[in-house]
Amino acid sequence: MNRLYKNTMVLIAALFLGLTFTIQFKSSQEQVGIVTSETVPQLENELHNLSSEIEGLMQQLTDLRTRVREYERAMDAQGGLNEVLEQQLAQAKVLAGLAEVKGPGIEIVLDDSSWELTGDNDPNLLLVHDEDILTVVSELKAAGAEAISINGQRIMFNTEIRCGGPTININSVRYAPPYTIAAIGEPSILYGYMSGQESGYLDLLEYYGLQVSIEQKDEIVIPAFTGSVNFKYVRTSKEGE
Amino acid sequence: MRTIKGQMSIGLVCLALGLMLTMQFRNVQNYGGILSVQRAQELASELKSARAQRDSLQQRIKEYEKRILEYEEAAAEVSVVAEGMRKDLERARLLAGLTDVRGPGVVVTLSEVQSGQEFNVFYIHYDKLLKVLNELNAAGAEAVSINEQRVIATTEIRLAGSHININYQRFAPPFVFKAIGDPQTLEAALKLKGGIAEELEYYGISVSIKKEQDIFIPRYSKVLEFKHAEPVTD
Repeated sequence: MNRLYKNTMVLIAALFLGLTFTIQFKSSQEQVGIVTSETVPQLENELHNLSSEIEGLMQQLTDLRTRVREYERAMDAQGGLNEVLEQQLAQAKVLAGLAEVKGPGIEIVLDDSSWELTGDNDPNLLLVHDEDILTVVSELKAAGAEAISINGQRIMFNTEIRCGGPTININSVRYAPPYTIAAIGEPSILYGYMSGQESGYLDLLEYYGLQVSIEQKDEIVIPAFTGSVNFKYVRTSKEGE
Repeated sequence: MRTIKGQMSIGLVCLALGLMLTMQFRNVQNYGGILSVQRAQELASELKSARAQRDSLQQRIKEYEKRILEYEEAAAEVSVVAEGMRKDLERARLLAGLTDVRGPGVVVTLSEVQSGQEFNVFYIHYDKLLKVLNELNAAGAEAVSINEQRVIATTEIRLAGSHININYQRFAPPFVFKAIGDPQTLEAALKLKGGIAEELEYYGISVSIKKEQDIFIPRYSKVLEFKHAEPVTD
């Protein structure tokens, strides 16, 4: 009798323990999966991105409201939407790189090294490469540049900067050094970023012997993109697709 | 005899318990422990409500856009000038990356061959992401996104601490490039002998390229506005 009682107790305890384990495991799985040491920073990044997306969406919404109001007012007036459309178009062209723009900014000039080529140094190290320009342009964007051109060629969303032998192709046009990279934005911020510790990339190029100059300007003019973009594959995705 | 049996079973139980404790402890070490679990749960619930907020905002934006489209179409019906401007506007917004797009192309996924290393290879070679984008552009990509961030003229790819910034958003590997264009050409450009895919693999980054007939690329998710650049008018 006593033994049976003991055994039953053990059985109940074991059952209870098993149940607890299972519940514990299942509940933690349901909520966030298995939490690894990488999960928290990942979730934090995701939340950061989502909050800034929400901020952007709220701005978009405010913008759209104003636009709708403008449209409604214009439709009541004479001439219909033409004037509003014209404004919208001018603005979109600036953002797309289809309009010439001016503003304060900085100018960076990169040139091949003036060092004499001696027997034991690699001539490759003395030249400006496509990757150098690619990185400089990306850093300028990170520093908040609004419009960028290289030797007068506007940087578009799909601009390639690619080595083609001794020259570099930008928007399918060939350029040779020196390369003048112009960027519109807050000059002190762009300058501080590019010349300071934030980027450090220009310093690196200079260390390797390239000729680098950087200058703040009150007014820079950046031409419109003059090439053509042929959209053959892309189409706007309308709602409901 | 009896006591030995009893002691042995107690010994066994103790052994099992000890093992379990050790395993549990190791798990806690590997998997961040109870505090991370709580923090992760907090973050997960915050994420959930943020997603709901985003979805409702997107819904409202769509409603407004529909109204604007209706107005524009109505105007285009009565005026040829308005119709022309509407088409130009659509094209300019497409170039600026302000519209959602679809089309054939490739989906390129870059991930670490060996994950969980102390040094993430992407943080050493983040400039390779720029190169991938550059190759896609050279091969005629008409729209590109990286981890759902639309690449526009001002999109940066930059190492910032323990993550990579794209459009000022934070990302960690894997990186998924979506590019609309001729799938064959795009794939061939990456897979070129001695090209970028080989280079990435050399550095311990695996590259998977999938050709697809219908890819969706979202618009730039913020409001794009210039504070310093203004149009030149003569």
